[in-house]
Amino acid sequence: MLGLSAALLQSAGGPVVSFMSKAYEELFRNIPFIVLIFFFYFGLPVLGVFISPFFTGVLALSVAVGAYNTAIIRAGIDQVDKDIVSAAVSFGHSKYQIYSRILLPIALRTSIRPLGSMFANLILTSSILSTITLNELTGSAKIIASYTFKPFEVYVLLMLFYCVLTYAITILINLMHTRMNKIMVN
Amino acid sequence: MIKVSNLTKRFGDNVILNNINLTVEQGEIVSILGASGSGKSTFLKCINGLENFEDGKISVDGLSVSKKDELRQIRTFCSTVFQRFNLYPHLTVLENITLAPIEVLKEPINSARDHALLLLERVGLTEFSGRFPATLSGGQQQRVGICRALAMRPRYLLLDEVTSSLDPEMTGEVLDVLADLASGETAMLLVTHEIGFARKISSRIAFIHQGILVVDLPTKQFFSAAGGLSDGRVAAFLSKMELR
Repeated sequence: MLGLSAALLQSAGGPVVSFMSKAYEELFRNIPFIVLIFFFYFGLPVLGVFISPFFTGVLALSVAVGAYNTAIIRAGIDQVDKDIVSAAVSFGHSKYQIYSRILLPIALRTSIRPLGSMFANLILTSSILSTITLNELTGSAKIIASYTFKPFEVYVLLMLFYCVLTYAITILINLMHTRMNKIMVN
Repeated sequence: MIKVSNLTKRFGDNVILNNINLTVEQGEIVSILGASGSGKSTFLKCINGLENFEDGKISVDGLSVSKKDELRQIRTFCSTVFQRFNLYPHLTVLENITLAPIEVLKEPINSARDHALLLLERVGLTEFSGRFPATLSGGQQQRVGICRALAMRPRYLLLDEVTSSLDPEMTGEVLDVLADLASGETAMLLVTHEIGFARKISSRIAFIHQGILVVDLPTKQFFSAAGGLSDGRVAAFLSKMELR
């Protein structure tokens, strides 16, 4: 959602809004994720802002993945044939109609694959959240490993789990891509 | 009436259109001829505000192209058919045709649909209404493009080299549809390379050479030795086109 809105602001907004959106994208694409969550979790409390591990995770992932998605969706919008947009303009469609009925539907079709790999990436990246005591998949595995003294088995299983999960997502995304783009080509 | 007065368009130091004057009356069919790069297509784009221009005035039925609100109104009754069709690839043929009537003219969905099917029948594409543009031939796509423009019930139709990206055998089917339309009340302004076709359907022919409108005459006079052909640039252009 964040990526979509930022991409829209960048593409349709005025120069100031567009610059701010671009700044957001560039800023968060160029910060390592682990530094970002350390800042939210350990840095912000100094200023009196306390965020729970779970909310830190949600926030940091949204902000970081949103920045990448911004780039993906904006590229999708830029790729749409300018002549098709001219046609819509010439028939008197409003800017809102052009974005909602023409530009975004086409852009999302071409962006679905990169957006999908971002989503898979998001799942993998979420493992880093275990460093701020958030017990997601990796965090829980760490606890189980230290209880059972069987780190080898636990982590092999964990790897398999991630692998199957993201692979399933990739397959799903490919299916969606084919389905959505079937109509656009011969 | 489309009224173009003293239109000048530049790209940097390049003068694309130089002080052009032209009027198209309601119901009239005017063809614009000229070599590639003479500025014909740019001229057409200026009329419905797809290109802006530096100097001069364009008005359509008294509304100015340069004023945002009035331009929006102009676009509701002045439709374009494009050289490369420019259909919406993610919408079906029927949706391509009904989109603007429904969203811009706020026409009820059912009546827009009925009108679209009527137009498709007229161009012989009824059975293609549910297909996507990519599955149609160029000639079929262009006929859909014409239907999309007509669905707005335009007073003016701008045709931008509508057969240039078609194979010769498909050119015929598109020209037939246009000739059929020519008997209606819609005024047409066409930029074309099809001299024979222009001669057949136009009431007037204008010739643009290097951004200057050099000749603007009734069709018969345009092709007469004393009229259009007395201009060396027109004669040279016509003989070159006939050689092809």
